[in-house]
Amino acid sequence: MKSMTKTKKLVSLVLFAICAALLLTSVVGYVKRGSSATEADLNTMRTQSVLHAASGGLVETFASRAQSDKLMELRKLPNFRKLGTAEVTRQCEEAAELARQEAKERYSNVQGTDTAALESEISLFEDTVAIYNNAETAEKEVYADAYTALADSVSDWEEFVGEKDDAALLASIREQVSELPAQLDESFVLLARDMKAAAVEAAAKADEATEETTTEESSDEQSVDYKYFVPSAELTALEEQVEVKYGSLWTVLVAAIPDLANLDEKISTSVRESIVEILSTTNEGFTARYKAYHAQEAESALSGKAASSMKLSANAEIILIASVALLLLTCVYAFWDFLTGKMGVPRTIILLFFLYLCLAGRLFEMNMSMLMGNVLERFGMYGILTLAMLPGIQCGIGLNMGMTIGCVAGLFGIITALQYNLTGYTAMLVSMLVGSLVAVPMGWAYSLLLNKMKGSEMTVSTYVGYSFVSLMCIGWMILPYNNPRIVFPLRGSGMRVTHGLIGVFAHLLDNLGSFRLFGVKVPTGLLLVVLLFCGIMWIFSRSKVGIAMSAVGSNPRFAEASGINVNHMRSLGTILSTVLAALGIIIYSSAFGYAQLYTAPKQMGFIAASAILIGGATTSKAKVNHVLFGVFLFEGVLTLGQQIANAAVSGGGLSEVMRILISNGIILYALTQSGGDSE
Amino acid sequence: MNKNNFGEKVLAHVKEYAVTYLFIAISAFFFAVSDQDLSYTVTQLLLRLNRNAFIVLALIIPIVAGMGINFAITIGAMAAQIGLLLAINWGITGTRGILVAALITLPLGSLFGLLIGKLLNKMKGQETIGSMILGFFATGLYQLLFLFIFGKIIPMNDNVSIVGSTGIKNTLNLTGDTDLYMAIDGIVRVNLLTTVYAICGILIVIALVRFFMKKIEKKTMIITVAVSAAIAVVFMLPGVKQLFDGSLSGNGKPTTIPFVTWVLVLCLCGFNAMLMKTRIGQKFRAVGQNRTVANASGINVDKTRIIAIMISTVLAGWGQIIFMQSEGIGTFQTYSAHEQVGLYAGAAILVGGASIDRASNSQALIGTFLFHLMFITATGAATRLFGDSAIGEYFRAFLSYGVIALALVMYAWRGVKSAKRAKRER
Amino acid sequence: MKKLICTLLALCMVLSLVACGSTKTETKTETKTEEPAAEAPAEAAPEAAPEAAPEATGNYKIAILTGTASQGDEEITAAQKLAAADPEHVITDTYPDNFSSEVETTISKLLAFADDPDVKAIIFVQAVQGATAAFNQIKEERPDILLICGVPAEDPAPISAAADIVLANDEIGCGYQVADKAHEWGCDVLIHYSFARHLSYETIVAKRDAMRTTAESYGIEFVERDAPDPTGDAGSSGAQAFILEDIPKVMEEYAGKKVCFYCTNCGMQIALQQAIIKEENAFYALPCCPSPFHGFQEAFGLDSSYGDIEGTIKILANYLNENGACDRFSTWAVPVNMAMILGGYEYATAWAKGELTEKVDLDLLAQCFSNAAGATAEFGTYTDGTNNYDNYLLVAFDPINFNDYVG
Repeated sequence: MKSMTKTKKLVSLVLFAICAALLLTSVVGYVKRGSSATEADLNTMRTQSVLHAASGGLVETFASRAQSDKLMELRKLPNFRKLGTAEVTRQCEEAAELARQEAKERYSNVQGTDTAALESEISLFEDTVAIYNNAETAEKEVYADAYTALADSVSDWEEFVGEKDDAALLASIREQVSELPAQLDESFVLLARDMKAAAVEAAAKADEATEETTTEESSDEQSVDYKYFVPSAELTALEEQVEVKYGSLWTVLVAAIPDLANLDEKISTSVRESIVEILSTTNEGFTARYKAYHAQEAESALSGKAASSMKLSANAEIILIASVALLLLTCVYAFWDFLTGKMGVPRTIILLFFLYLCLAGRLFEMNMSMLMGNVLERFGMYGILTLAMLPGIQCGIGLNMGMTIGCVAGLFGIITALQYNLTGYTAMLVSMLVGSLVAVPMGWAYSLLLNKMKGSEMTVSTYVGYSFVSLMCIGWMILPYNNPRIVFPLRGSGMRVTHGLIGVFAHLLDNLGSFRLFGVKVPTGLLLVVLLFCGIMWIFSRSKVGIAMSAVGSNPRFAEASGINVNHMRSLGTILSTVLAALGIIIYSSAFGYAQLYTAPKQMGFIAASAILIGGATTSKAKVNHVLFGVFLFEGVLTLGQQIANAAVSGGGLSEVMRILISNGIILYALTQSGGDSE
Repeated sequence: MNKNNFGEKVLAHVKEYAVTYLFIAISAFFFAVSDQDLSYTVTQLLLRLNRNAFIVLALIIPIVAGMGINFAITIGAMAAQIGLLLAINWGITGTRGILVAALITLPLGSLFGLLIGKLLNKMKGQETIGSMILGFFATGLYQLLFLFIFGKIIPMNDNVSIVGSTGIKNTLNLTGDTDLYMAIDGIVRVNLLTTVYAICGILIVIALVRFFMKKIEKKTMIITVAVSAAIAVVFMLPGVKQLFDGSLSGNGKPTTIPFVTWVLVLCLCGFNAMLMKTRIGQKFRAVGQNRTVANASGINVDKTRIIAIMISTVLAGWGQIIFMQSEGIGTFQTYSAHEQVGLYAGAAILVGGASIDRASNSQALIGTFLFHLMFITATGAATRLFGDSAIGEYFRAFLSYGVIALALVMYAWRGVKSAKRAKRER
Repeated sequence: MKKLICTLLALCMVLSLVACGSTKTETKTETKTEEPAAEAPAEAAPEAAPEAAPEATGNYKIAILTGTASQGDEEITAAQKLAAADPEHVITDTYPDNFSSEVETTISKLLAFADDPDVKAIIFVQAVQGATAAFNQIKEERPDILLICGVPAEDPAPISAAADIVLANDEIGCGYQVADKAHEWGCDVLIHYSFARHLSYETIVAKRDAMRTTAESYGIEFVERDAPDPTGDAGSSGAQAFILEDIPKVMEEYAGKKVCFYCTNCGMQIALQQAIIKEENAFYALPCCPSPFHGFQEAFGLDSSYGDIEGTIKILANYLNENGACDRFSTWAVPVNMAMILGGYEYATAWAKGELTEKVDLDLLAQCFSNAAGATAEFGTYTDGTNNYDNYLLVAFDPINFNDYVG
């Protein structure tokens, strides 16, 4: 045993050393990014990129034009559709390839041109563009300020505009917005008139509509319409200067590649666009610049040491990620016993996988804060639904696949709220109230059934859940609610399958007190509610009743012997589970944005069961932290996995298949690590 | 035999097979309500029995080995589908194609069974979640194979590939050039009535011969002869005869049954029965009854369980081939065909009176019969009862699930009761 | 066990005897119910032409198989309207909700129709898995039945061989339409959501290729993204959640560009519509099955119009207008699946009355369909480049401009 530990220590040390080496390399790479040598190399690449955009980029432009011309020609044919898409695609690609070959011959030879002159021209052009951009941004800011000031100060556009003529209107505008640049005068008058027209129209519509329309939540920021923006004389002058500078840059380019002069306007515009795009990255730091140049195959301009150093700088981040990944692995390896003791083997592996997914997200340069926000939101959505599994396991009925009964009760609550046109918190509370009220007797009846057949609840409850969902399908069809918003649009009776909750109580909790932490949107209200319920369940499981219930679950004979009424406890657990499922589906629907009836809740039990089991629960033992951990891991792997699969393998269905294989494979592997000892 | 005793016996019998009788009652009620044509019901029932019996029978061994309903039959079906696809791809038609598919299924199914068995052995106590996740994983693997490996890495014929892309078509036709449709069902078809008469006659002869050889008692002989004769007579009644001699069906042809398929089903029954008498069969039983005791008595529990799963997976694969070639199916839904397998096979065997740890051939066959009888009649009854086809379908779904749930509840209930009784007696 | 078998057999015997008895009585009651039916034309006879043969016209039925309401209420409402209007001649039924795994049930429902000797035509919309198998059998047993199927889920070659008439949305045409519409709106990017299982459908692949070729020829960047399969581990809610999460992400990635979205799965349309209406630069050219009823009412919580199609579009247009999205959404003005049933019924009636000599009469069909759709329909036939399927008819309409319906 001791020698094992020794090897382990050694391996861990070696791994740590490799991590440190990688880390060091990446730091070197990062440091190099800022050095002047790299700066010079980047500028060389920039010149090469511009040249490439003017030559190689052109080839693609020609190719795609040829393709488009071919398609247009084909589509005019009378028997176009008889060709079949495969044939059409083939012909188009053939045309494109032909054009590409032709263009390549003409434009590919750009080596040995005077790069120095080009470089200076590029710098000049770049500076002018920068000055222009700054000026434009400044003016736009002024415009936006004026726009918001005017929009905020005027409440009634009809009255404000009235029958005033342009001058009078301008005067009143100036009264509201003191610092209005002169060139905006005319357009603001126009703006005011348009606003009035819109207001009149809206008023007319409001009169028409007899029903009271729900007040939409006013967003904090008013969007600024740039339609009325007019540049000042200085800005126009600057723009002209940009033109002039581009002209001289173009001249140098034409000197390098004479064929450029013969281009038609459309293509030269596209060349210009790509040049501007390349140059606009100059001030955006190393990564953006490198990426833009890389796209133009500009590495060829570098050679020898410069090339390898550039490679190192470019890959610094990848090396960093690799080192972190290795570090994680090493930590897990080194502290295996501690971690598995705390969380169990499957959890450790799945957690490691989750962290790797996060790293992969970074690697593919995805917006991790947005993804983490999604994970948090899904955590909130499924939290209470999964929590509904907990009392079932604790009281000994195992995985309560019949929680769909509770889900249906909750949906009934939502439909009731919709029928009476309730909105906001009223709607949510009413649905919860109705849902729970319905769920209690249903849970009780269901528990009576389960008490009759201890030992094989799971198979039975799955089918009981299914049959109840099907029964309720009939219920939804004949439910006598008649609000036109909830009945089938054509049939005119029966509940729709999906009910949009926007304007009712969609996103009510996730927007409540939500804030951004490092760019991650934290759905505070939603998380708080989940934690609140988990807390209640935790306190409950510590109470006298809760302890008695767990005793029934873990050892019914002992519980019976110590005078606990087993059936009562099981009923209590089932009712709790059903009510939680009802509340869970309401919160889920709210965060999701719509409620879905009919066969939609059928699979809810499976999702909740998977989550709690992955969290470490077994069919006879579960704790609140299994719920929290399980939901987070299960939904986290699902959410991140989908996005990362898309980034890693593009389209064609392969990425989704890969995701299914990898994430389910990892979970399977993790599960096989949990047991296996034969009795 | 006194009367009271007889009454008690009947009552006990009815109680014992309450679910079965319940199913008969429900089906009869549905049939009466549905206003369905009897000949249609009978034809459909025969078709469905023919299609599904083999798969349901494949479930018996793992149940006996204490592994519950083998969900891995879905994966066995996948193996069979790979075999069929290859047969179609190679252009092997007719019965030979089916044989090739079955041959391919044998190693593939065994391999899959082996892997599944190993996996399940490694996660005892977590089988529920394990099999759920395994199902998703297998679907992923199947799609990878059929969409990205076949066609891209392993070249396939044009007639099975998606036009304009790679991968296997969504629907493969088993009729026409491939000629796999009814490749087993169509080999020898015998007239149903003749078969019934023949079987009854053979039964009577056997019973008489065995009686005179003093192998069976007089009572048994009389019962056998009487029942056989009664059945033969029933089938000679004009009302019943009409159903099968073609006078009621649309085309006027008498009802025939696929002889070879039924022989295969009977072979499987025989195989199941024989296997239980061999040593490995004893092991299955021992493991199924009590794993700890089995282990203590020197049986390798893990290995036994793996063997059970392997046999069942291969058999299910063959069952799937029989299903797909069978009369009335004729197309191969590449990406969803295997989903059909697991869905009702488990339910059917439970309805027949099997429980999670005990199952026999007759339970499987009776279960298939009853389950599908209910399914066929429920369709019409539901529509009829509500007079609204929109609700009818939901009602059918409700009843099918509800009846399964009810059957399970009743079995579970009885299990609890008998456990209590056993406890009291002890 | 033996006892059980004995009892069972005995029961079967009794049952079958009872059943035989009841079939006889049933046939009796049938003839009874037929009598008033026969009387009705007899009463009407004096008014109508005296040559009218009541037996020839009275005894036909047209069977319609549709999805349940939870699959969308277009088809079933159309079928039930017909059944209410013409109860003597129309019988309806629905296929199971999880049709892809209960193919046997679908097949036996179709065969149950064919078992009724009065049924002269079967209309099956949407023709889910099992159509080919059932139709092949029906053709053999009852060659006199006209088989019409709409929106087939099986590949063109098998289904067009089995059915007499296949009506389908012009999927490939939709591919061109989506790209054209995106170009018209000046989009820079076109995003196509699908997943592996869907990409095994020949028509979906062809549609995607058409969309890509056209989009690229317009200089629109065509991006394929994978969504989770709603039948897989994520479930349909997971698939929808993915769409809701992915669209803001895509819009951020292509900040400042106009992005048009398309998804091949019906279940995800609602999520797609909800997410797109919130984004200023997101566009929605067509639903997967173009219709004014496809998801919109549910996604936006719009009022029911109780079957008024024009009214529905107006309600939708006004909602879009309020949200500044009239120029970002489009669809077809005609609920095509509904038109398939209504038009199919008209055509089938003609067939059942013996007015047709051939099963396929394209002119009449086009006329029936146009009547049902309220717009002129033109049929194309499907081809995969090498084979032409002459009875696989493609229906296309022009995408609408919602601005025309505002007010």
